[in-house]
This record gives sequence, structure tokens and C-alpha cells, in this order.
Amino acid sequence: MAYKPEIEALVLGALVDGPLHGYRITQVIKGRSSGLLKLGDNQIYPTLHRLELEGLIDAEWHQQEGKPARKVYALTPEGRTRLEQRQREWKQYATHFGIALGLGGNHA
Amino acid sequence: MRDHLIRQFLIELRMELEVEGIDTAERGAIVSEAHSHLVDAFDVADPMNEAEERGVIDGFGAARTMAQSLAREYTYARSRRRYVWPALFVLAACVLFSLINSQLHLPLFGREIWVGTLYVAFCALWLVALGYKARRPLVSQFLVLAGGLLIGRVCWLMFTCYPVPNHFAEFVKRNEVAKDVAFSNRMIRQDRLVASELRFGQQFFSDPSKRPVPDFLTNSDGSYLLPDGIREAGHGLPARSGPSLTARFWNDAVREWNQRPYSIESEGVPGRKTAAEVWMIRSVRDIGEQENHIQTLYRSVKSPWWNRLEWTVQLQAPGVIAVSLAAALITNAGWVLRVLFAPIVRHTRRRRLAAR
Repeated sequence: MAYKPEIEALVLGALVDGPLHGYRITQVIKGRSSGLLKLGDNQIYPTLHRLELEGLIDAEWHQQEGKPARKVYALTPEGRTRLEQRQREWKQYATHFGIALGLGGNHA
Repeated sequence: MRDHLIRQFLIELRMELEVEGIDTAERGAIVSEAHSHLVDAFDVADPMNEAEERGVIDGFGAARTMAQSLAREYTYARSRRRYVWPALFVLAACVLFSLINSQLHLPLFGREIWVGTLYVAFCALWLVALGYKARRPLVSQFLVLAGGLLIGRVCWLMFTCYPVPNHFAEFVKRNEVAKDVAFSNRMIRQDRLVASELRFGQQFFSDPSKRPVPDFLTNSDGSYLLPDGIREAGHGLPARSGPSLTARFWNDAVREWNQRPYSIESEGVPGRKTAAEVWMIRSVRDIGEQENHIQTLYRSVKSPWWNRLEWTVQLQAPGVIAVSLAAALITNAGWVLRVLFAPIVRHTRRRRLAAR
């Protein structure tokens, strides 16, 4: 199998612990990957809008005092299922890639 | 400084979103979201460090890239929708066309433009507009439409009509078989009458000596009926006078009945013929065709429905497929227009918005 790294999977993964707004999602991805995954902030929004249109995430506007309103995203059950599918694919890919590199064992 | 950078970026983003044709409501939401993102990002930047503040904007990425990516996502989302309305529109148009068929033959602006022509042109323009609006090629619904129409028409024909096997694409409704046979029998009677009167007239006028003429060779105004006049009268048309229909004087009638100016070699009959001979030949041929029509229709009525299937399919398949294919091509022409004009539309919008 071939695994294509997708922003979609990263965004869904960032939301696994709870609802987040766009800026926070980019921070979570950067933080969790120790700065290895560098995404332009503007790359996140097209993906977020698509996931919302597909019903994988829900969005809600939160008003803030003295600041512009934030759009906060949360995983839907369908989104959680999609994330689990992506996680399985990644584990499989990482295992086989590790074996191909001669590392052996499970490298997921 | 940060307010200026944010405002400048948001103005650019709003313009690029409009250039990409994203709706006003969606544009507003995207700009608000980008605004809150930038405010959050600036909150962690050093306000005294200009390079760091500019880095926030650079880190966000280009407004044009974001607008283009969003436009792609919205197009993708649209492509997942099922666009059934072009097919439904074609179906509705077909039904309407069949219901108001007689009104569609009314001429407009002289004989060149018909109501039906305008109706078809309107349908074509509407389909182009639907295809333009869809922003993607539409194929599957037309396949479904063709299949549905095919099955529907074949079933309708199979259960409501009898095909006429000797005539391609001809059928008679089940409840109109008696009417159809009566019509054919009337035509046969008329053709027989015309043929016998013509035969008599041919013999009568072959003798040039003037003598009393039977009523059926005389017009209501007292003139002599010529072969064309006999044929019109025999088919129940109102009495008329005219150079090819009647002759006022005996000598003219004799000459017209006996001259041989006609050739119908294209119909497989050699030699020059009189008008009476031409119409006799055609009447006899028409009688044969009508008798054959009645016989084949009765055979069709008596045969089981599966024997009629081949003909019913042949009757409708080419027409249905042609209509669906034409509708699909016209609709997708709208999408092709959008693709071809997209760069021009973007360029024009950008220039207009930049000027504003």
C-alpha cells in the first residue's frame, strides 16, 4: 500500500482531544511533531472547510470580548471513524516501510 | 503596525476570494476566521519587533493561494452533489413537448420561426446555463435519463401500442386499432373508386365525338373533370375549378385526357403516361399498401408481446439516445464555456476589484 500524508489526517488528529479553533490546530500540529511538520497556516482552512462540508467536523462561532469571533471545530462521530481509519493506514504503512528499510519489527 | 498588516492582508484575501467566485456569505466567514487567526498569531509575536510581526503574515501564507485552495475545495464539494435537475429538466421538456405539440407548430414572424423552434432554443440555452452553474461535467444523470426513457417508452409501447412491422417507427395505439383499420378501409374504397372512374374516363374521352357525359365526370359548374379533378373529388375534397382540374370545352377535355406528358420512371414505371394512367398506377399501389398495412397490423395484434419487443425497442432506442446525448452535450457545453472563460473572468474581476 502507499500512504499519502494528508493535512486531513493531521487536522482530524489535532481535534481528537477536543474542539479547537484554526490557529490552535496549527499550533497543536507543530507542537506534536516537534516542529517537523511545517504547514502554512493558510493550508489548514481549505481542509477544515472541506471536512466541515463532508460532515467529518462540526463548527461553531465563539464570540470573544474585544477580539474577532473564533470558529471552533470539533470531531463528529464520522470524523472520529475517518481518523481511526487513517491511524490504521499509517500504522500499516510505517510497519512496512520500517521492514523495507531493514529495521524490522513494529515502527508505528 | 499589526493593525495595518492585518487590514492589508484581509483586504487582499477578500479580493482574491471574490476573484475566485466564492459566495458573499462564505467570503465573510473566511475573512472573519483569518482575522481571528492573525490576531491570535500576533498576540504571541513581539510588538516591538517589526520583522517578527511581518513573519506572522509570511507564516500565514499568500492570500491568493488560500483563496484558490478554498475555491478548489468548494468545487470538489459541489462535485460530490448529485445534480439531477438537468436530467429532470430534459424529462419535463419532453413531456411538455408531447403535451403541447399542436401549439408548437404555430408559426411566428412568418413561416421561418416556429414556436417549437423557440421552445427548443430556450431549452438549449437553459441547459447551457445549468451546465455553467454546475462547474463540473455532468454525465451520469444523462445515462440514467436515457436508460429510464428507454425502459419507460418501450414498456409504454409494449403495453399500449401495436407496432406496424413493415413501417419502421410506426405504431398504432391499442384502443385506436379499429379506427386505424377503418381509416385504411376508407382509403382503399376511395382509391378503388378513383381508379375505376379514371379507367372509365380514359376510355370515354379516347373517342373524340362529343356526347353526354356521366355525372361523376362533370364538375358542379358544368365543366368536364380532368384526372386530377377526379382524384380530388374521389378523396372527398370540395369541388374546385382550375386548369389542371377541369376543362370548360369538350375538345380541351379530350386533349387533356389523352396527352401523355408524364414520366414516373423514378417510381419504376417505364414510358410516357397520361395523368389518368399515373393516378391509376398510384391508386393501385396505395390500395396494396393499405391492405398490407391492415394485414400486418392484425398479425401484430395476434402475435405475443415478446415477438413485438424487437420492433418496439427499435422504434424508440435511437430517438431516446439522441435526445439524451444532445442534452448531455448541450449541458456540458456550459461547463466547457466556464472552463474556457475562467481565466478571463478572473482577470476582469481582479482588475475591477483592484481599481475599486
